Amino acid sequence: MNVNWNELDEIPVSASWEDSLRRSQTLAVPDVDGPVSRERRRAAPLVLVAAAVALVAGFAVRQSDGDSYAVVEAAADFEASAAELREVGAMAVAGGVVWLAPVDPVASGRLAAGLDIATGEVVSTSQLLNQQRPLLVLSASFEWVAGVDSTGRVAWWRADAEGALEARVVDAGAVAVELDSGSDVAWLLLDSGDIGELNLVTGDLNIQVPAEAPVTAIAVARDGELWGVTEHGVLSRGLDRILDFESEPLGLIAAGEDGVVVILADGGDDGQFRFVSPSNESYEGFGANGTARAWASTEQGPVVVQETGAVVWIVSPGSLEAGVGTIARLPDGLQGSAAPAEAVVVTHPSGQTLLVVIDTDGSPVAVALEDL
Amino acid sequence: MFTNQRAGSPYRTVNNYPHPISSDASHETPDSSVDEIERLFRVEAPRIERSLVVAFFKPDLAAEAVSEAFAQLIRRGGEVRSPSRWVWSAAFAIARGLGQSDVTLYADPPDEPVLDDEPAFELRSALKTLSPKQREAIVLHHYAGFGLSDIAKVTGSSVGALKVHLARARQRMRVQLMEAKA
Repeated sequence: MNVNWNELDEIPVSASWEDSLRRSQTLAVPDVDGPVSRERRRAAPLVLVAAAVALVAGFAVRQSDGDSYAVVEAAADFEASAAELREVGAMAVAGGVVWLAPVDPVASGRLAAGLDIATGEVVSTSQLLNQQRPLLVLSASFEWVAGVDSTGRVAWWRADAEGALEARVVDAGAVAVELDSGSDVAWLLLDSGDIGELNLVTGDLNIQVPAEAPVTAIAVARDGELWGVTEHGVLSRGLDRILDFESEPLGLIAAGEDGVVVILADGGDDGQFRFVSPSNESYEGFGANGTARAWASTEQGPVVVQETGAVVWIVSPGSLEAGVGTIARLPDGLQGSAAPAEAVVVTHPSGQTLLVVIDTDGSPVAVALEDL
Repeated sequence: MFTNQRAGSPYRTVNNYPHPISSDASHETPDSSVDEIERLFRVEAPRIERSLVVAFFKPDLAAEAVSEAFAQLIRRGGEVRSPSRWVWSAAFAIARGLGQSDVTLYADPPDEPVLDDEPAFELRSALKTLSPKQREAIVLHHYAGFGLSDIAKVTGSSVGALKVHLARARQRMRVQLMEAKA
């Protein structure tokens, strides 16, 4: 690239020596060497909790009177609706509704399809938000759903079977969002394609966390701790650097029970998982011969869906003895050419735990975990 | 490493630095030192300001940061061992500090397009497509002539991270400039 950087010398300037001399006579000096203290950073999540309470306060978890689940029966309708999406960018569950967002630029910003878990009905297939790009990441907690589009714009909206009730949009430069149902904190991962910064934002708070590499995934554990992993394999818990997996790619991360994080060391190699316990020990060996493509957290631990359609249920992450609890295959729909793209776990009013998986073509499959 | 103050004013009041024209002669910055800083200003200030302009795309902020950085340098006088490097670092840190109250600083540059009659139109347009950190890195390296370790000190980053910034910035600029020529 032949760039003549001296062209920049043509830019006019306006700073004057006299101005500097005049300023030097005052007592106000910029604090150029006053880093945010570690203590202040550590206190920040507590502030975030307080701030985020305002975000969700007053909105109770939606309760349904339904006594049977019709997800599987409704799959045909759901699939017909999802097929209009061409490609699903993100998936999340809130208020008893599984929400999908399309990548299709024609439907940019559309929270395109929702599936009411209690009734099995497809709802709100054309709810538009004031977004200009496809939503690529969704996260949900209670009735709130948050999404990030390809320009970093973030939208929060309160959604139920009637659709999006209200929305708030922030131009934040985000690449991911994680709503933490445990502490009512909305975590945003801000990176904007940069490296070296993991910004956690809720409201107008902004905390910079040094990461020194693009952060590829974040997850919030049940104890409220935020975990992040960079593409270079550095795992951080909160603001502390925990482990460096050197160059091993870490594609997925999920928070499990008791603050334990399950890392799926992937990248198309061996499909193995690694568990990192709160005492910072690393374990591995739960190979399942397949690349993990989607996952969801359950009360019993993460459920991982591999590209082959196999479902791996890790009964108790962090417990070596528990290991992989169940390995099964999804019954239909995910064993063809399309690969699993997203997975969510929904507790049906009947008490059954449903795993809803959608593939890269937008086709859904819903199964009761108890049946696996 | 310089880190920005998020809340409130980016300024703090200090009283422990010598005043160049204080009535207390024992605390004065020697005239010779002020003269040297003025000479440094003539040489470095325009390049610092231009670097800030294309790094942040906020001309007013750039001039403000340069003026403040040199004001601090005057106040610190002989305490600064390498005034040239120090004032670059201070100006960028101050620019970031000033911009912290504006959430768009680390998001996209202002929407105003670079006009084709502005100096270095193509280069500035290409720079505008970069992320803020990429812009800082490539401007400090290619325009200001800093080495990676010095850029790391200015930006508070690591050498490894800067290499990635530079590689990505060059790649993106190459595409932008080729498209512009086409």
